[in-house]
Amino acid sequence: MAKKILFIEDEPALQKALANAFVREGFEIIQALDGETGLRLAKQKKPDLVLLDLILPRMDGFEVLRKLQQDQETKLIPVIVLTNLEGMGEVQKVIELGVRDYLVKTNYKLDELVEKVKATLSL
Amino acid sequence: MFGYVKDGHVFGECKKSGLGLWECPPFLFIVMGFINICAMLGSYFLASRYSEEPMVAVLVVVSVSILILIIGNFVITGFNKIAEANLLKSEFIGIVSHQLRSPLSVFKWTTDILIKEAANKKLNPDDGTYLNILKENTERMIELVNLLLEVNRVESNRMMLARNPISLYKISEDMVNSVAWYAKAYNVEVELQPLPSPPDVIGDMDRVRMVVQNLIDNAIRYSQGKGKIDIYLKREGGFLKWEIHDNGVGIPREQQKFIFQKFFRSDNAVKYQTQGSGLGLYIAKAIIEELGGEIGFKSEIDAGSTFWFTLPIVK
Repeated sequence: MAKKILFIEDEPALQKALANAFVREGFEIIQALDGETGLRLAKQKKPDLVLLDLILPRMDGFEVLRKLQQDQETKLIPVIVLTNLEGMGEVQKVIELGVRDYLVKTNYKLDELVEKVKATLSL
Repeated sequence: MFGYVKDGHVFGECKKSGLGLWECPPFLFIVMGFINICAMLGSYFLASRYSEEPMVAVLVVVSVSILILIIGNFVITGFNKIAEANLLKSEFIGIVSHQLRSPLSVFKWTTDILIKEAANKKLNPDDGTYLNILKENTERMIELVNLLLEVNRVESNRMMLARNPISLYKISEDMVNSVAWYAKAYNVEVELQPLPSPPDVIGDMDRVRMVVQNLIDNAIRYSQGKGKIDIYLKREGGFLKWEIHDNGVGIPREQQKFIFQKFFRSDNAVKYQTQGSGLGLYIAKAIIEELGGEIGFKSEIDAGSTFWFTLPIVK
């Protein structure tokens, strides 16, 4: 069965590009343009992995991470943070919140992202 | 701004703004206080020695004290303004860079897709070239933003370096291979001289790679379109020394002292290469010194340059 990936990313152009790359590789994708919707979809659809931006409308990525961690049902879903912030404050904060990876968008090609996700899901 | 301030310590604040101790307003305030007390005692001593009238002594002490306070106030206000401007500039670079990264990631990923799709279709050959031009220039912008952010981190002491055993030889080998096509375009040959059983050094893989890349890149770009670049690694006490020789344009003697300064590009660097941020060597120096090594160079105009750095060998 196709693995489900949830993208929580507020930039529609990036959502589209991510969708293109992941669908091509046979993933099923779920998209959310803000933190609140992302959190709701994570609970409803139980994705195999979440790709999470940090600066998001309505609820920021840190809060989404915290809420995912607090909920028994979503606690075990691996989360990869995909952002353009890279201060040590952010990195430390999200590592404490138990993310699998912290990737800076501009430093990764789409193919490399797909590979990271595959590696995390041990595909 | 992003929660970097962990404590409210005033000296911490100065360090964060990239200000040295003698530029830090709270420290200067303490120094001024101390000078004022000394001056008051000194003038009291002198006044009471040369005048028998106690009122004269008091007047002298009060006038000296007021004068020092006024001058001190001007000095500290000036430094305060510099400190504020420094912090604002740092924040500005940080915000702008992060904002630039968003559209840049859109460019990067959409060109990724277009290039991939173009590979499956028969495109007009020009279109493929345009896509690659777009891709290369996007990468250049990303690189520049990354450099600006790195400078910002260096200046505000927020650079966080890993300290792992890494193979400097392997990094150099990979880099030499990856620049082969680029060197060829400049008609330069880059060769890494062998070192039997090269030791690992302590460093941050990505950052050290950045330094090596920058030094090789400079050697190629300022090569005058001919010649040979040699890279040597050798043990020197507890350090591994990495050295790169080129026979490029060289750096004018009078400008050599500025070479590690931020945004500095020597006259002949600008003459031979219009591209270049003047940030690479500044960052390289900060990285190498933070890792406990040293960095330096020798250069002669029109004859070439030798840049070197050292990093501690894993014990």
